[in-house]
Amino acid sequence: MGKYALRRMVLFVPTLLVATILVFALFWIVPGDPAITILAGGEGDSGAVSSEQLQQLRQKLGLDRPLYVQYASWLGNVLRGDLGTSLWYKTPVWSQLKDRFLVTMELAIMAILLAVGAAVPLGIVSAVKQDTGLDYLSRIFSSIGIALPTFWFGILIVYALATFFEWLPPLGYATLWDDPLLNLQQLFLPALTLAFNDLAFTARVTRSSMLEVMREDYLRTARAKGLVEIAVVGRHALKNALLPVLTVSGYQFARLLGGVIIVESIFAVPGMGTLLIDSIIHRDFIVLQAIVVLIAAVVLTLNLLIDLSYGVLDPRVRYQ
Amino acid sequence: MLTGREAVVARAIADTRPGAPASAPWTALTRFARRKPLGAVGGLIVLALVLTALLAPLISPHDPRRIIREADNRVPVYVAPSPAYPMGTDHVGRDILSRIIYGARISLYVGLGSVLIGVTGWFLVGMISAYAGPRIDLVVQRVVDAMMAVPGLIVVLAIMAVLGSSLNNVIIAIVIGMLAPVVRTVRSQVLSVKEMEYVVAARAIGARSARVVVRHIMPNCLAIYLILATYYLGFAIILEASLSFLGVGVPPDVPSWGGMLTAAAQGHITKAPWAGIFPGLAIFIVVLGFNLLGDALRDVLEPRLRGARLGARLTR
Repeated sequence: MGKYALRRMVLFVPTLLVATILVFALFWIVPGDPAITILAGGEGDSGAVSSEQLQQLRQKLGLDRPLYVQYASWLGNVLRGDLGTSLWYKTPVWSQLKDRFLVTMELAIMAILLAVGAAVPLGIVSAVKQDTGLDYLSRIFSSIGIALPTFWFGILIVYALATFFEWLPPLGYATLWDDPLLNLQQLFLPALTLAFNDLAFTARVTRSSMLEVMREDYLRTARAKGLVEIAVVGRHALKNALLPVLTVSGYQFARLLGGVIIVESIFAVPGMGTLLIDSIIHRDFIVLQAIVVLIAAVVLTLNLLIDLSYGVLDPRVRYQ
Repeated sequence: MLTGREAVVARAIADTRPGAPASAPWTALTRFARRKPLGAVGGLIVLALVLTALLAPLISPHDPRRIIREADNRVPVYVAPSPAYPMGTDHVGRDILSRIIYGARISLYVGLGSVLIGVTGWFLVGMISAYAGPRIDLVVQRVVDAMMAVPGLIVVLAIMAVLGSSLNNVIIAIVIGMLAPVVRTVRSQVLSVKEMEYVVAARAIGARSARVVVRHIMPNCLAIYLILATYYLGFAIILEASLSFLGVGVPPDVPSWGGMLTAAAQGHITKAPWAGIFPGLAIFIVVLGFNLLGDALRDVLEPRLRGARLGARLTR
């Protein structure tokens, strides 16, 4: 186990490093000079930019230094916890980001719990009752869920609630610490919207993974020794069928962090997603860069944890 | 009478006979439809999309970009569906049905453009990664790993932030967003084809690498290319809609299904539900169509891939 864990962890660092290089490269190499883009503003009226302004901003951003020096100093700052200063708000990025980061994480965790919590029973029923009406129903449901765009589903939920319950997305926002109940109430619908699409997919994976396990010899043995069906399914089949579901949930969590952006903007949740859109509109590359790197770090850490838990749960993995 | 294995062989020979009747493609299609009814439904949806896009000027009742002026000079803002405007009008007084019809062109253009460039390009990269030796493979795989760490939508959004909003920039951004999942899928497929007996046999009789790749590996990856292209068409359409919905995709006067939903999300949905329902329905049906067709193609052409997460990196 120790060797396996070490190998996984050694892989983690270069991947994160490559991710930071890519993010850095994207924002500072591709479109000529970011200073021009920043000064020109969102509308692209570059006519009003004076060369002094440009020079000043270049110096401030350190654009006059060679690229590898820029990257090294940026990375050094990030490692020391300094994500830079927002170009638009002129405040440290981290002070802006930290509350929103927690909101987004809470939303994503709620969504993944909802998705897995509903998908696993759905997938099991679908597999155990294979090719019955129930199975078809749940398969149709998951086909629909996969094709349903999150933003449209969110709009429909808001519409349904507004029409039938006269409910509108709240303008304020209560944190988990101030008012836990209100907070959960406010985040429930965005989380549900976010979960729906992943629910469908996870249910599908659970179903096919269950079907595969159900054909194994040890299940026949369990039945032959007279175990009741519920123990066969629950204890013997499910334990093995859930491993792929775990891996998939890791990937799904990464996808959720993308979907969060859309859902936050529909339900007016003050999370990282709304800040991301905001920073795109204001061309605030420093904030944008910080968010992307932060998300990459979260996803990679999560994948590492899943890989490690896989090693614990499935001993075969360790010896590959 | 032939039975079992011989019957299969006989049928295979009959299928490949050069003088097969001219109706062969038609029979193949009906057989596909009978075996995979859902796939056939998907195919019909895709066909309908293509026809709508091609015939847009003939079938759309109004100009999709022009604000309508009625006889008494009034602008019909948020008029409910009626014979004059079958799907109603939007927040500035444009015909929604016409915008949906022309929106099919945008969706198809972005879908085809990004799939032709992205899936084809990254397909070759995946192949090279699997075949060109460990050093290149290592570099490509680290880049893929790093890109996998950022959700596709965020990759695409970040690129749009740098490029600025325009139709072709949307395609560029989606192409880059496809890199990681396509390269990864293709690489693992090529790695498994590489170990197949006929490839080993070809190498054993002394065929050069280039010949093995072009004559043996590529034809056997054709099915995978077709399946990936189908799934990723749906993927690209939904990504374009997401970008335009968030206001960073195509410019607002371009009729994009996603962009048509922006106003609905800003609270207008209660005032004019039709403006929020029809464009979303169009996206949903089209993406469902591509997914159903992709599933059926996968089952028929490459049953080994069943359960593989091909269309799974769709990102909303």
